[in-house]
Amino acid sequence: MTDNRAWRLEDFVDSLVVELDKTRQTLAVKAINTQLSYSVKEVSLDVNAFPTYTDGSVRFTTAQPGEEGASKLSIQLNSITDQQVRATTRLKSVEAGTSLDEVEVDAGTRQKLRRIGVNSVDDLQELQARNVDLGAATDSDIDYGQLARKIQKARRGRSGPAIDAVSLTREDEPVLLIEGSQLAIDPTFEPVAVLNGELAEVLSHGPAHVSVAVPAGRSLAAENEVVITFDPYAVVRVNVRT
Amino acid sequence: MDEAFRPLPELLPELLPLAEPISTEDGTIRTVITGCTVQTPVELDLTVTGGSVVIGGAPPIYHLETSETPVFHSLRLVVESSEAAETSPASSASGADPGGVAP
Repeated sequence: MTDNRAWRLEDFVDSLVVELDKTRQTLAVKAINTQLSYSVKEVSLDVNAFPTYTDGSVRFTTAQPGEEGASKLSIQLNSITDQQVRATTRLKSVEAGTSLDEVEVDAGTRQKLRRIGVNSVDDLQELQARNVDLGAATDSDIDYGQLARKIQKARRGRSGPAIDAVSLTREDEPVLLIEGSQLAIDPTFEPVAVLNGELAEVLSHGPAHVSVAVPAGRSLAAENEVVITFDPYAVVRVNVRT
Repeated sequence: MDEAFRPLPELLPELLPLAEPISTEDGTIRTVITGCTVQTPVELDLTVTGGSVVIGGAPPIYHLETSETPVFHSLRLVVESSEAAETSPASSASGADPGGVAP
């Protein structure tokens, strides 16, 4: 055996599951010739290893020849049908896709949250709904407000605003129409626009458009700088040529 | 992974004594293996690469008594044919050994 490095149980189980899937595929191929299809119903593995607790996590080192007193780690994988998975898996909301890994929190905070079973933003929202005191549960100064801001930032990072077109309309007064996707998606935030260094009125806004009134008495130059704050985490600067 | 070990997807199917159906000479009776349970000591080679663990395994490699014996882990593998799973669902619930033959 070569480099005997400590491994995390999570990584080991992940690999075991992947390897087992490959085994199922191999058996399926084999079954074509035997006219019967076999399925792996159960795999259990007893591993002799030494658990150690370092850097806030438990890791295991596989026992080597001559080493005594190893712990026996028993892992049993049973089979389940997809219907059973659906029946026993809780439904997640549409926004639950944000994993805690995507949220910009320090490793210590993430680890503290994981220890109390928080792996996703959805888990966090459930705790908040139950009025759980995060600070007391994790013995730290984590608060929902602080986390909520970081979560919003992470989500905005995944779905940033994209501008497809900018046009100028002239009815009573000149209006800049900015069109695109994921623009003003926060209904609680009023977008702010600055045109050539001067605050401009936002006439209407939505996820696909923002209309900005050109300040009275001003006209657009050949090159115009438009800065729009769609929400605290999305600020866009565009140059508009007329 | 050490060359003495093999990835589990290669090792596990080889541990299964799944054979072709056996028929009587006149072809009136056919016997098939509907499932089996294999329990064996194994030697493991776990290699950590980045965030993943590469699992290599092998049945006891040497059958020699040495002053320092290798570490034997234990592997149990249960497979069942889809035919058996459909006809005898009670076997899994009772924990009965699915190994054996059926006509």
